[in-house]
Amino acid sequence: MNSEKNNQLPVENPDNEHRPDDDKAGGLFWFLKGKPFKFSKILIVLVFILVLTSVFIPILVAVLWSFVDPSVPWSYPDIFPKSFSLYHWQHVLKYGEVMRAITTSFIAAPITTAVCIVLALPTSYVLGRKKFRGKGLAKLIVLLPIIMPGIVVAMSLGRLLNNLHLSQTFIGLIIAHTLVGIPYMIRTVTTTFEAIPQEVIDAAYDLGASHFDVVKEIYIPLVLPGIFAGGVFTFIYSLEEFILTFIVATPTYRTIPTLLYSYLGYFFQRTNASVVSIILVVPGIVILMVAERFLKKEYLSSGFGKI
Amino acid sequence: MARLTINNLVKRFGDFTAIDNLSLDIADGEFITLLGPSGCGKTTTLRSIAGFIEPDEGDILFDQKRVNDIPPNKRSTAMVFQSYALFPHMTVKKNIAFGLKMKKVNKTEAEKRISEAIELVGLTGLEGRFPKELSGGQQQRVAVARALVMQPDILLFDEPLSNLDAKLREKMRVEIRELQRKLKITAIYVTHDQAEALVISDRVVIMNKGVIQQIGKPTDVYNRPNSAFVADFIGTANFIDGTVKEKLEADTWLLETEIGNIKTMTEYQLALGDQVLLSVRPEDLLMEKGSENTFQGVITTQTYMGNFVDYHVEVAGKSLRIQSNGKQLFEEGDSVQVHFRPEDCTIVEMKDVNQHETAHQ
Repeated sequence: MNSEKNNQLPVENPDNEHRPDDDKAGGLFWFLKGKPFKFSKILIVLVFILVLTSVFIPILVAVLWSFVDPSVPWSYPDIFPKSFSLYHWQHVLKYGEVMRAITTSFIAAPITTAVCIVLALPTSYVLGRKKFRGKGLAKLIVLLPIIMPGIVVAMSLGRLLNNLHLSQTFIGLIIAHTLVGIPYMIRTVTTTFEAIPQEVIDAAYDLGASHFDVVKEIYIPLVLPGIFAGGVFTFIYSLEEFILTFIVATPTYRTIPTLLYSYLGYFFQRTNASVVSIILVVPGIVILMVAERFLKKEYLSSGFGKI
Repeated sequence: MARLTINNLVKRFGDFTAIDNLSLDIADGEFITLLGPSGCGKTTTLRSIAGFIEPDEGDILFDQKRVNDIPPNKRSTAMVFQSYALFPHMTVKKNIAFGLKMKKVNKTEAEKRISEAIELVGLTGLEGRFPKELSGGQQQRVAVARALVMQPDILLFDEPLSNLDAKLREKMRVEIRELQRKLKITAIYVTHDQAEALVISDRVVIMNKGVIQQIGKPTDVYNRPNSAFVADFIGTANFIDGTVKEKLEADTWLLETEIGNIKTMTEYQLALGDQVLLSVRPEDLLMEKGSENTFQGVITTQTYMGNFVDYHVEVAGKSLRIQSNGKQLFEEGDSVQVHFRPEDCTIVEMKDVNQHETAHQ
């Protein structure tokens, strides 16, 4: 934003040839010196192309594959399939294992989210409102599960759950998802706790509220946007989690991603894989879009006075 | 609607003593201002009264009942915060209703008090708005209504006007004063703005470094400051060093000072040879010839301010600040007569008691 503004200045003042900002930009991108405006445009186009090729086109291709008519093959040099049908969707949804995986995923995700909320609230309250020695370290430790490489967490957790006789169980699956999902929740909820001015809390006590009242009437409503944002992260994380599920719960419990892996691996079926991946991706996109709208509205209505 | 007594209050934060043995007695229905620079302990005192801060020593009594161990939510105080501290997720009405809901006041009674409070502060029609949809002045009214609706024994204000612009601030302080008079609630008001303190209070408590410097009516603390700090903090002051030369009448003395002989009136008992510090307000210095305390000076700077003119006049090598209405305008370099009445110069400090004892021998 800022660099864009700076870069536009020379265009607005063509007479003013030398500006200190030019030197700054020109230092790193010396070859673009004198044409900074064009440079920012190039960047935008590059990012756009990147998103298009890495996200949008694969999804589009998956959508197309999922609707291919099995009786009319889609092959080179056709850019689009010649004929569409719902055959693969019906076929996949008829499979018992697909429905089971979808059910498992959509039961595990809300439970993981709920467990994360319950566990994160007290932690976030302390991290966000209290002063204590080693708070910085505590905040770092909370983030460790997402700092550590997934495979490292998965291997050690798999071993641990195995010793506890919890591998290949649904509880083990929830524990695994919660462990890596909870840092996101703690992070966002802590931030919302931190954002509540102490004077607002003092005012509530001053007006006769008990500790319970303050939690119920002030803290909970004010951190709700944070819980919601964190919930979106943990829900989508749980839906799309692969490595932990694969090591801890497969083959007893299959989620959509582990099922997708088997479609892409042992029994490669592009059409089935396409259907399953859409089932996996679409809820995430919908949740994100709804969340975006809800969060905007919620944050707007919770401006903290003039602060 | 309570008398507030503070006895020997002490509060330390680590090595820093925020309140140093403070005692204060505030009458029922009185409007008191705690005035002082930042870090003087005024806010700490207010928060101790509300119960947010536990004092290290001393007692706080409401109507002679000790409240030290009563938590803030059980004390009959209501506070208006500097940031207003409105609940952002509640409408104006819910904000105002919050305290009554907490105290479980019955519905009809609560409704009645809420609508009275809303009308009192002039927020009728805005009940359904959220705080962020209100202007600063309106938010401030909500904060006041939210405190008033509780019908507290003691109303506490923590620099409530510091976030408003100058015009609105002047308007609101008169409104707060009128409301308090009408409702006859004991009020304690913290500010660092001396003009606000003078306008709003029955009595002003001037604090510095955790210690009360002077308590008095606005006219007293302005006209009869008891220390150089008070004279300087409230308004502006010219300080002149002098020595007692002669007793003229029971309360009138002649001083020999750095700018010449000055006749002053004081209730202090002075002795010949006492060294004193005099304070004269810039607006009490008149640029005309008087029968006494008249000095010759030259104007070094002149600043036109519209409603008054600010001069610096050099008298016998000392620069004096003079504020006069702009009726007669002098220019820089003009030679002028400077005059002030004996009752307009105040002794704010007496120094060197030893020397006065030797002078007697």
